[in-house]
Amino acid sequence: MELLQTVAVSTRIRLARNFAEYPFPHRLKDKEAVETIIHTVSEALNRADDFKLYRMDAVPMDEAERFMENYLISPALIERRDISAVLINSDENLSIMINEEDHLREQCSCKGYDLSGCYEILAGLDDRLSKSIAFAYDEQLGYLTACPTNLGTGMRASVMLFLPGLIENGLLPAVGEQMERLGFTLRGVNGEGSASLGALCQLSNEVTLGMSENEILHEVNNVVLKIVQLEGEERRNLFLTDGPQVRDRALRAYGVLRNCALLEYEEFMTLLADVKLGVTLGILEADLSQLDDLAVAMRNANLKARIKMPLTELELASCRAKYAESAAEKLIVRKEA
Amino acid sequence: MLCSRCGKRDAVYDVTEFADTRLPTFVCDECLGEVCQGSATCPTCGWTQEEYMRTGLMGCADCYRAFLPLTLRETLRLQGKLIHEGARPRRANYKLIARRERLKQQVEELLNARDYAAAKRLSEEIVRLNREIEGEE
Ligand SMILES: [Zn+2]
Ligand SMILES: [Zn+2]
Repeated sequence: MELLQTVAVSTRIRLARNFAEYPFPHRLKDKEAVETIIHTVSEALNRADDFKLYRMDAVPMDEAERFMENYLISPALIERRDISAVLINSDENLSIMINEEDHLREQCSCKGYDLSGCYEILAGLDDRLSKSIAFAYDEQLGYLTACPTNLGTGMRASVMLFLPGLIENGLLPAVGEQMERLGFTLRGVNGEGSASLGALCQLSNEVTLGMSENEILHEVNNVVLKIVQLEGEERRNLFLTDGPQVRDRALRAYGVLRNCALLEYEEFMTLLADVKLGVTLGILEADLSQLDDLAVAMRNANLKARIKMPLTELELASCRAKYAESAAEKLIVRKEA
Repeated sequence: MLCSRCGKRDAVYDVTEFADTRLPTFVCDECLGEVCQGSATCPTCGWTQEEYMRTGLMGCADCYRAFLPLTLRETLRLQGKLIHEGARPRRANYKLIARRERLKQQVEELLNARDYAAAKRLSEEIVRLNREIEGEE
């Protein structure tokens, strides 16, 4: 198992684009303009692929939440539900948010690590859209966005990283500061403040202007490889200094996943991180990418969509526990010491 | 490099694209306001520089030019660079697209009027336009 594959969980790239002739969404008051924008974007994809249009004011809250859990939309899109919409393809790897902070936020994501693959797909989508939409563009400043932090390429590339070694050894803040100096952001995902849930962190580029898309991707790649190397060292250190404890935690987590009656998402993610670390250190055996799928499938709205029934908090925790038991039995094997 | 206006201080801003002459122009921070002047309010959308400072958001695409030299100061502060190096949008054939949209409306009207022969003719024209728009490089 290659180290990179045990660290990089998923890849996501987005492009910010705007119509030249309409005010940015935060100033968009004209109902007709809203209709034209939504209509034009969905018409632009008309006969291509299998995109489905969702008007956010007509999407039930549970479904909107599931889109958010799957990173297809952002919380800001829901806040603007009176004017916003989203186009999502059937594979759910492509989405176009309409009237979020910008008129368009085109987004492509994939499992594992594939910056150039994601960009290639996204560039194709952007090309198709630009055939029928006159994007706001300036010869000096590039693509014009509502916020100047997205000027130029309008591109943000993000990689989700599993960093239990750096987190456990207290090195995440220092690495984060180092990244900030280099023009990148490294922050915990879904956690409170700087904490991260399931030892997951997201790395993304800050600078969007003055470099080509490929140069940005090249730099993101360099930084990812550097973090992967650091994480590898810290995992080894962790195993050398706290081997028995790490082993104990992995086995306990495996035990709890197979034997509990109520399971909250936060606890599940902590257990999953212990199991995943156990797998990378050879204590347990499992396909990491299948375990990462669970991190999404176990979230509230995804669980509800699976069960297809309204559930109380308690019932949800009970369903999660049952699902965790069968998943753990199917996906995780204990190795002999 | 020295400022091309005062010749005393170091040049920080490349304003070639914004200066009237379009000749390579590099100026210092003090001279920036002299070389490119904007307005407090965007003539297109009515958004003000003050509102930008409060929200961090521009009101429309035209605000960027209207709010010179603030735009350049902010861009340098946030991005550390001033010149876009990435992809540019293709020149779309907007006229063809506008014509296609008009034809689509006409087809609908003809269908409502049950003039199927005419609707079919226009539909064929739409298919042809689609090919032209899609195939454009
Ligand atoms: Zn000067
Ligand atoms: Zn404006």
